[in-house]
Amino acid sequence: MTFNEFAGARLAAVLRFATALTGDPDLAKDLVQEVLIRVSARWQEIGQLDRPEAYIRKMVVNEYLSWRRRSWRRRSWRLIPLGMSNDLTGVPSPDPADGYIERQALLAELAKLSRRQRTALVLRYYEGFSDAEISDVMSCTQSTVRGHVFKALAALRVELDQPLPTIPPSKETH
Amino acid sequence: MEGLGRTPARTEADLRAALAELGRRAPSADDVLSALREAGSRRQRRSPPPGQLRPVGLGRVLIPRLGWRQLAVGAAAAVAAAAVALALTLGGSPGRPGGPDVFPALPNPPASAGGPPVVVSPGHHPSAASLARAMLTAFNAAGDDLAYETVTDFRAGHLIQTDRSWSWPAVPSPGQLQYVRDAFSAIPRGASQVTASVKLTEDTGYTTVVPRPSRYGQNELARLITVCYAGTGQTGCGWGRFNTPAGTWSKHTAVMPYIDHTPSPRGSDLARQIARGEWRIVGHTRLRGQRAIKLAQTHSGTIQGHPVFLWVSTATYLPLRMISVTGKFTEADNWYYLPPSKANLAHLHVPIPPGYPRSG
Repeated sequence: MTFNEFAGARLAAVLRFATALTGDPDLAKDLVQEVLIRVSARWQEIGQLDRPEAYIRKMVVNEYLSWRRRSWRRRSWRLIPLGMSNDLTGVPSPDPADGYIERQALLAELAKLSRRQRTALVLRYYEGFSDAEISDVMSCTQSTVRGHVFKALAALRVELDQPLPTIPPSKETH
Repeated sequence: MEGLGRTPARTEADLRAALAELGRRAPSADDVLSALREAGSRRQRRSPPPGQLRPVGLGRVLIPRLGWRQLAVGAAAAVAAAAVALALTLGGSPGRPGGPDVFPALPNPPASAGGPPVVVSPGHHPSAASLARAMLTAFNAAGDDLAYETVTDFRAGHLIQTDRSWSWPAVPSPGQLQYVRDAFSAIPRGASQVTASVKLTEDTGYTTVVPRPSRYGQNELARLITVCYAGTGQTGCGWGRFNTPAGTWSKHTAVMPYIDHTPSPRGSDLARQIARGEWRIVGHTRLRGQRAIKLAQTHSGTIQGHPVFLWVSTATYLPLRMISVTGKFTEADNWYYLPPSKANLAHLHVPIPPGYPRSG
């Protein structure tokens, strides 16, 4: 498979993943561009891997976690949390418009998580990765992954369908 | 899920849905590929051939480019500081680079900025309160978009005038640089109001720093570019104390009355009117390829005495259209919230017709 064939088939998926990761299409574009420039330069090696997309996804995550030149928190978040401006009071009701508002609020809170917590959540709930796969991508132990997920879900006030597995004691810190 | 003021009971399914929605906003792969080819070719010219596979995530190849929004914020701050000092040293037409100018050129955004709109499947009529809240949320979220509004007037079904305006950002904050363009077309004076066609009469570009809200008239330093078209029956085009004779164009930078050019009524005002019961939902329909809710103004509305209808997209919860009918006159307002891509922002530039002399 050539790099162009790979990009034509899988780039859109990588971009969707990066957008979920960063919460911002412009940042996702920058992030993926930077990764792809390195990928294209080394495609002869990366293209030979069993799962080049998984490797590239790992590059995207590492780039996202190590990207220190930008002040991510200062980026203007297009989704303004409720109550910050032009707020209204009203009687809550379960209808489609409420669903839209709630998703915007959830996305705004998602943006406030630490990058590692957010990465763990996106890999678990967007990509559907197992803890083992997430720990491989994030280069940490599975207990650390579960710690990130647990704290992030608590911050977002998300109730679990099933309780997380017990977290064995770990000395690892991130 | 619960509404405002309560702790939401969110589920993992809610989280998955929210992340899926984010994923749908991803930029176009074609845009990324073309930018990549461009960057790659630049890099190839100055870099040695690639070496061996390195561990992932190490090192950076490119200096990150500044996002256009960062440029815009920086430009706004710089403009506010430099405007007074440079106000008297202007020159050059709006379309020509070079020459000192108070207001910076429009930033160069990525073509995919903004992403696709959020898609929400309409299940049933939302309540007025929740529709209003969704509209406010959507209106706030569209604050960085380019707002495009058309106001079209018909007399007995015949088009008699149309006003097209672009304003960016769609919801500007005080202190923020605001770009506006307003193109007005009308039937030439003296021509038949029944058979003649409208003609572009006046094209104006207006750039200023948004003042703080006030109940009184405000004056702000602004740049005003006016093209007054010939052959319309008008002898000139006026804006405050500035007059531009027909068949010429002018450019002024001065303190002048501030005029809010954002679409009117604002989405937030419409949302409040809906919450107050000034509109009632009359049905679901499709408009401009989107599912939409149609509303009719009630007798408590602000535009009383004649039928007024409003369409709100259930894909974006932004207003799409308002139509009011008064006797034989019909006014149709259409609103578009466009991603601030380079192509869309190009509409803010006022083209100077060839051969038109500058008159001021």
